[in-house]
Amino acid sequence: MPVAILRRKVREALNMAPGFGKSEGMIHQIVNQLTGGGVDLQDLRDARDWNHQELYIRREKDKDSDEYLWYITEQGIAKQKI
Amino acid sequence: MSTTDPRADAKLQNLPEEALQDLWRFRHPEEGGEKLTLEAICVEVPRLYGVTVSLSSLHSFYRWLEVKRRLDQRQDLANQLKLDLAKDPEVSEAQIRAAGQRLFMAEGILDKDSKVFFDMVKIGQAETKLKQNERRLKQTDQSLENESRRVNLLEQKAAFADEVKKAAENRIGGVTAEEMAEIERKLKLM
Repeated sequence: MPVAILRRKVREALNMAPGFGKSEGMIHQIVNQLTGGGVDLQDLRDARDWNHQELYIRREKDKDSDEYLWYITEQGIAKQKI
Repeated sequence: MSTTDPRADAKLQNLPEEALQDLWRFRHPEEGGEKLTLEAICVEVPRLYGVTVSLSSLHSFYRWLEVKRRLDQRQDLANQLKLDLAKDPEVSEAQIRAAGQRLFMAEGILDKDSKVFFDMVKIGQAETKLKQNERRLKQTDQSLENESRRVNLLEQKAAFADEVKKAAENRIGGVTAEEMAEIERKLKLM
């Protein structure tokens, strides 16, 4: 899958129910559903980290599960509109 | 200012909620309704919403819409749970947020009934409270035991003092200064 599309799908996943954080596993599951499946986890991580670098998404550490939960930012929402 | 024209699927995704409901019903009609093909919807969309879409964009859009509806449902359940928990003054803001997040991420039966989750949160809270009460009771028991030992010692001290007093009264010539110092030393040791 082209990198640009995967990056977009990550934002798309986080833009759904944006008030709630999503774990890596959840993002992987959602992106697979959006694309029809077969998304490589490392490719997904690269796409997620690119969005993070561009400040389209942010993360918070979940104290209970000790994993990061991801959220879309205002910039990310604006980017999804174009 | 950006001159980029929004993508067709972005335009569809950003349609008002009512339009999204209509588009969903085109593919998932209520009983007796007619299910439209993607080709037919492709023709309807520009007429209804002024957006030209390709079949593949429409296909992706429906995948997106299905996932979105599922996540919206989870979000509604989680928000309902947060509202219910907010009525309880003993539940903190952080606990409400964490419980909502947990329910949002939960799979299976919890997807359908936030009440089950609400009960679980309350049971968890009750257990914590019971443990706290148990700890408090243990502390109280310990304090009572300490108090009882203290009273016991005081009684022993008083009895000894009485005994010494009586002995001194019965003795001719009273108690010498050395004997008095010894008695005081013993009392201090008690």
